Amino acid sequence: MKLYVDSLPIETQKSLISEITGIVPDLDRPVVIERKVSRSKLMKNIYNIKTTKGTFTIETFSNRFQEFFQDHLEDLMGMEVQWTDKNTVNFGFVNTQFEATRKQFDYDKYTVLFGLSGFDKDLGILTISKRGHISRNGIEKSAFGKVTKGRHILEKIQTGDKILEVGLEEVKSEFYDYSVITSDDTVNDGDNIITKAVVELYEDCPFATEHFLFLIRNGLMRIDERNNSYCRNDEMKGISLPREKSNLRDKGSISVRNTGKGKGSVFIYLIDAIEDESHSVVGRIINGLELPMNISPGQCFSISSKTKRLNTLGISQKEAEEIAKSMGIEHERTGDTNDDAIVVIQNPEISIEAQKAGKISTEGVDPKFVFKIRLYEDKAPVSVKYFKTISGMATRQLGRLDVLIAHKDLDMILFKGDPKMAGELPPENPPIEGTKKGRIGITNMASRQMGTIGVRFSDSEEYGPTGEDFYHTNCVGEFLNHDKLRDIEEGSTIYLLLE
Amino acid sequence: MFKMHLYKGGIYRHDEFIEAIEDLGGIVMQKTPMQTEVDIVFAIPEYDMDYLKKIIKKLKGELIDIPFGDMEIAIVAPSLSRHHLPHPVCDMSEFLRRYGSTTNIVGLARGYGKTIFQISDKEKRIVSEHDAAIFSFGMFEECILLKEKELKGLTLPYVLCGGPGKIENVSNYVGNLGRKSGRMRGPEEIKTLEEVKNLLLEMVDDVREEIGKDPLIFPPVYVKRAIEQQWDLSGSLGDNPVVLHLDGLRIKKPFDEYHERISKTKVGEYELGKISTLKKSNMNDTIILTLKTKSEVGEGP
Repeated sequence: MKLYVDSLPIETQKSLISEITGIVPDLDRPVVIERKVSRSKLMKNIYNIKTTKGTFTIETFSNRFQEFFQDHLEDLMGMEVQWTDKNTVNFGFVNTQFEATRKQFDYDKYTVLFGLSGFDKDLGILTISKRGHISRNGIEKSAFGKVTKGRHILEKIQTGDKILEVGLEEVKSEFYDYSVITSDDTVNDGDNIITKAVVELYEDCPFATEHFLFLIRNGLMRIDERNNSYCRNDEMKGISLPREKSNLRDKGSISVRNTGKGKGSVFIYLIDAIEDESHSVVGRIINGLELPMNISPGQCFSISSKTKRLNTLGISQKEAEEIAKSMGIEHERTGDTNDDAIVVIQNPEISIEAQKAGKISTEGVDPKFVFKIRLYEDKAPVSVKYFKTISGMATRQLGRLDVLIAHKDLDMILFKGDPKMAGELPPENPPIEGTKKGRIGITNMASRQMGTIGVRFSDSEEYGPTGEDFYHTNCVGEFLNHDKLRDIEEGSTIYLLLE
Repeated sequence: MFKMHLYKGGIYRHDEFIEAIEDLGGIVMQKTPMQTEVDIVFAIPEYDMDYLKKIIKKLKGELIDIPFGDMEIAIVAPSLSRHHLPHPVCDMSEFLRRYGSTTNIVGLARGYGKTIFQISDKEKRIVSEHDAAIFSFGMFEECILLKEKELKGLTLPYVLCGGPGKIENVSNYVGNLGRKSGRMRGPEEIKTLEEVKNLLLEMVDDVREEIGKDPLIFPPVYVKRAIEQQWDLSGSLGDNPVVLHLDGLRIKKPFDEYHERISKTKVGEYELGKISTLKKSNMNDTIILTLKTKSEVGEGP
């Protein structure tokens, strides 16, 4: 059986998708099967006329002159332009049986008609009207079509030019059937199993490109909203980006919105759209666009980029060095240069810039400043989004928090927040049953101190992690190794990693 | 193809609507905030009107079509003398403007009289620069038919108007629009104006369909935005320096002074001069820009 996997041909005797591709499709992550219904369809009334100056298309309507045209296609090939004037182009000659008349008729521009040169039946001419005119063309009402495409060619055609070819227009699109497969199904001979989308990235918008690379770091992209124009992912909605170069959003283009309420959302365009400066175009899908075109909101698809993300934050200096080496990039250690020191700053941090420079430096810190945390995405989605944005974990795997208040006698530690951003933080997941040690709390919009982030070192039945009562506290997660937090001093910075 | 619409709604959350237009590949042409209300004129491809209507419903707004928003229409009167103007020519002009059209009233130099009616070649060229035309011709059938013969050669869609209710064998004719001594305010008269609008709309839809078969390289609204962003056109003739046409634009700037710089406008990856033809208008020394089709630029099939 001959099949295609992501448009690459393979020969196999297996028939299950999982056996062929190694992927078991499910409801969350389906694959798409492209099945040929018909290779092409001939348009019965549309003809392409290829001349020595270019090709133009005529759309014909049914009458006896169209029948004559269809019956004499071979005679028309090779016909020369006998004369041109400001109103017409005239190809000749062909033998006809049409009755000659000396009456004059009115013809619209771009009309295709037959005429008789010198009112002689044997000197039939194919006339193309370039503009509206009145003429004695020799045959009564002999129009049978209109030029619809390539009208500019008519102005170029001169005496002596030839018709090289006349053929029915063939339309070769939209004759495939696409099925979204959500279970391990069997496939038929000739099917194309589309399992992933491949992206080619541009270098015009480095920040937006980094944003997109972070979104697809796990090789998956979810569709949250779709219509006829685009598919949209809102996972990183709300994240600010600088305004970068905008381009035309052609079919398959990927863009990141950089302003407004929808900033940070990633779009895949399914039609050609014009450029808009609110969209930074980061690249385009070069293979597998059928996946986002066919799957439903809530479903994911595999996606990979030719440009790899280079971000060493949160890993050890040694691991960072190995990654840089594998990508052929020079590496320099700064700060804590021990092998097990954790990288907290990468310079340059943007993948495209790092790869262009061919060199990165990584600043390490003692692992005691790096803490593993768990976030309650399901229980407090809005607060988790706020926490991720403040800590920078919305766009990178390593977060950082600046210590606001810390003292050995104080039973808690407070971190800086953003009161302006917290103005839209509603009460969410309050610690009703008491505060447990190590829990991360945020003061919500109900309090004047909104936005402050805190952690307690012991349980409390009275106050939340930020010292507010429970109604003013949103619980967003917990530290997995909070004991070392007691040693952190005021004014310092701690680093966070998700478990 | 892009179509123009008007959104009327509250100022609260109208930014969400503007974002939706930008995301769908549309263009906001004009935004007029008025205390708690806002009017937004925008052009958008037709693919996702249902999706946009859902957003409008959510925002409790109203969507109004502007069918002639991307057109310049000529209203031709036999002369500029008082028995031909202002009524009903101004009524027609005013009525079409409500549907978004930019209308120009053209008074012919020798357009009066049954047997002496003339329309010069220059006048024909001026009218042909528009997307459509309406001719207001007298009170008598015979007179209208004689004048209609002089219009041969005009290739733009046009509607003939005159006094008799109906004229046999003239499909593009609307009656009850002869000489009027007052404004057309009555319900019957407004119905007549609606008739003119509908007939014109039918004809223009055919033109749009024809353009759709061999689409323009870029929509005119996009080129208009590019020109307005890249060049300072303040101090132009008229309030609207760049007027939309179905197949291009009219730029109200002197041709000799401006055509070179306009042709250097960057549109997408092209220079405007390479994807369009610019010529001097016969009217007020403005620039007529006609966009090339995709097949002409070599992008189409």
